[in-house]
Amino acid sequence: MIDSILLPALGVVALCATLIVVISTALYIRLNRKYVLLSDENARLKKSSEEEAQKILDAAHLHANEVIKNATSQAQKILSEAQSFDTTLRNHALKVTTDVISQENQAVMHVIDEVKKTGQAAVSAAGQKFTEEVSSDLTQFKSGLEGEFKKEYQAITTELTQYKQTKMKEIEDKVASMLERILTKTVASSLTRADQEELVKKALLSISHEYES
Amino acid sequence: MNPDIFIHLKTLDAFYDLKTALMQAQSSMYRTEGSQVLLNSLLASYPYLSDLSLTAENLSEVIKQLTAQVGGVELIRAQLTVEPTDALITHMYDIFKTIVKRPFLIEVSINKDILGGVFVEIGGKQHDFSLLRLVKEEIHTNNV
Repeated sequence: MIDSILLPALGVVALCATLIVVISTALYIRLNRKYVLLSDENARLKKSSEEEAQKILDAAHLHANEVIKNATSQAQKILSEAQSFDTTLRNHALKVTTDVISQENQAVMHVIDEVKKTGQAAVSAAGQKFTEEVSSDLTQFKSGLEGEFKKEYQAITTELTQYKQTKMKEIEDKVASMLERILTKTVASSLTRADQEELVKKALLSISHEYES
Repeated sequence: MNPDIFIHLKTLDAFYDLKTALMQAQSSMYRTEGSQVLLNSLLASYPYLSDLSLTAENLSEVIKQLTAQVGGVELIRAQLTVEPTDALITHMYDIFKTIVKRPFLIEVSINKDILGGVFVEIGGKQHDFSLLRLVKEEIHTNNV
């Protein structure tokens, strides 16, 4: 950015100085020619007064010197101004640059702060989210574990109940079978013929009632 | 032939007894000449045969008719634990007569396993009034 401002300015200044030198040189050459002409004139005239001629030459010489001096002075002034401008420009550029850097630095700092804040917020949010997720996962795991435990417990309970029922049924069947055998033998041997006939009669009455109904 | 013969017979066993007696009588008549004596003896044992106008000549025909008739009557199967007396058979027949309205005979069989009571099959329908069923029901339903 500095180079883009400074270099063209220096170029302009250099150009101006060069122009001044060129003009001065051209003027000098012109005056020199005039001097030559005057010399020629002097020679031609021969008769002119050498003093007058000398005066004219001196005057011309002085004038030339003055012009050169003025030109030099002007050039120096321009150069000085150019230098001053250059310094000012440099200072200005430096200031602008410093300001820009400062602003950019501030902006960067602001951005860094923002990023930091956002980052902190994000980290905090992420942390909270992570905590929530972990908590949720733990709750789910706990719930799942409880569910599995309940399921297993129920399965075991059901299995035990079924086993118990099966065993109880087996025992009941054995008891019933035993009772049946005992009762069969006891009843068969204890009933008299009269009892048997009475049983048949009662059974027949029951059959009769069954058909009547 | 008079269908009342089944009222007299009552059981299938009685029919087989009668048939056997008739066939023996028939056989005897070929060997002896005292056929009337045999017939009188038969009628004495089975008085209801008098309704059949039984003669030495129609004896064979009577046997055939009786056999054919028994093949067409309904059989009521009854299982008992003791051999029934005539009185019990009569009682059974009277009871079944109120149930079955056509000629029938009782086929009695002895089955000690039913412990007591009777197991009857009428027209393919079974009626278990045995003591065995009562005992089993008592044991299994009341969790004795």
